[in-house]
Amino acid sequence: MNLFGVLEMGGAGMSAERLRAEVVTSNLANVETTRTPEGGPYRRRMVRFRAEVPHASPFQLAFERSTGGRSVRVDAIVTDQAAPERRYQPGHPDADGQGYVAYPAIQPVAEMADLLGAVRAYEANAASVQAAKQMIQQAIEILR
Amino acid sequence: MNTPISGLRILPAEIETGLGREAGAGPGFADTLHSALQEVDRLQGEANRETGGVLAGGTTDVHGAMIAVEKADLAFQLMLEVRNKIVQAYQEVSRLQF
Amino acid sequence: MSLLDTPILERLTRYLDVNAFRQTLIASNLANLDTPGYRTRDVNFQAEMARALEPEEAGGGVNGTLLSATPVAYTVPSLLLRPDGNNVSLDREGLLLAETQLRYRLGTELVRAEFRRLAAAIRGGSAA
Repeated sequence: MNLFGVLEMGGAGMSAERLRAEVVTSNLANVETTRTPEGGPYRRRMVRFRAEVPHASPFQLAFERSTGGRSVRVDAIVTDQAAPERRYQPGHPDADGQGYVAYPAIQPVAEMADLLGAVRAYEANAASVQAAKQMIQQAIEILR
Repeated sequence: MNTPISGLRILPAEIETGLGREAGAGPGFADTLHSALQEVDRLQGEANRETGGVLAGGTTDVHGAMIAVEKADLAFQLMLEVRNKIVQAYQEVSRLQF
Repeated sequence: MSLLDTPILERLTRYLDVNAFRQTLIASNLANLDTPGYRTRDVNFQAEMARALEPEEAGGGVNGTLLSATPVAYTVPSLLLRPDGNNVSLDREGLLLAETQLRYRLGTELVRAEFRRLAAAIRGGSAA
């Protein structure tokens, strides 16, 4: 891998973190959502990151597996299987026979912290892209 | 440290010995130019390989290619200077009146 | 060994190689800031620089330096491990990112200076 590979790796990190921010934002937006197309309340979603060897030729692959850096990608978006939070609201249209409404089990504070983490990681990856770009430019400057 | 001046050994000494000896005895003009050309060739090949590696998106790094290209460029300039000096020397010799 | 393969140029090329490699590892660490089980990777800067110079001193020549030149990454020990098995520290990587960037800049500027010196030697002051 060379410095162009670093650009790609930073880009992969940025898109993975952006997807994470999107998922967290969707969790935050649906804190009170009791009705979904799948039925029942909204369920909290989480991203699962996986480190991966950047795409390369078979020879490079064997070589870089042992030495080089790792890129990242979102392996899956998993749904939290935690039971919904039941609140007593007899007048609510989605209330069950005993007057309880199932709300998503989402802690807004935890989601906000997660969102901040995603933003920070996004910025870190943007900085690494910026650094790689500057380094490539400096290497080209050797010819001037 | 190896200074560029000491590296320029192929220039005056060899031309002088070439001039001083019988024709064909030591390294002559042609040999000197030939070795300079070979050097240009070698570094140009290296530059091509390195740039090819960068263009193909391999493991070659940008600075490696840039350094190789700059080396090839300098080698070419060195060869040109050698050639100019040789031509100049030849013209001076050919103008000699006996 | 020709005029243009000066020892300082070889050393600078190595310096740039190691820094560029380190940059790939830093970028990798930052990309995997939140990947469960990922461990911080780095390169031993001093050792890699020293290793490149070994064959030359042992009389291995230019070919020897090229083969042994591939830097090796290692997993950094004794970093604070988070519950998800990841130990990437944003502060450490951010600091190294800036450092590597500056080192690389230093390397490229020194290479340029060396080439200017060689060019001046070739032209012998005859032309600008």
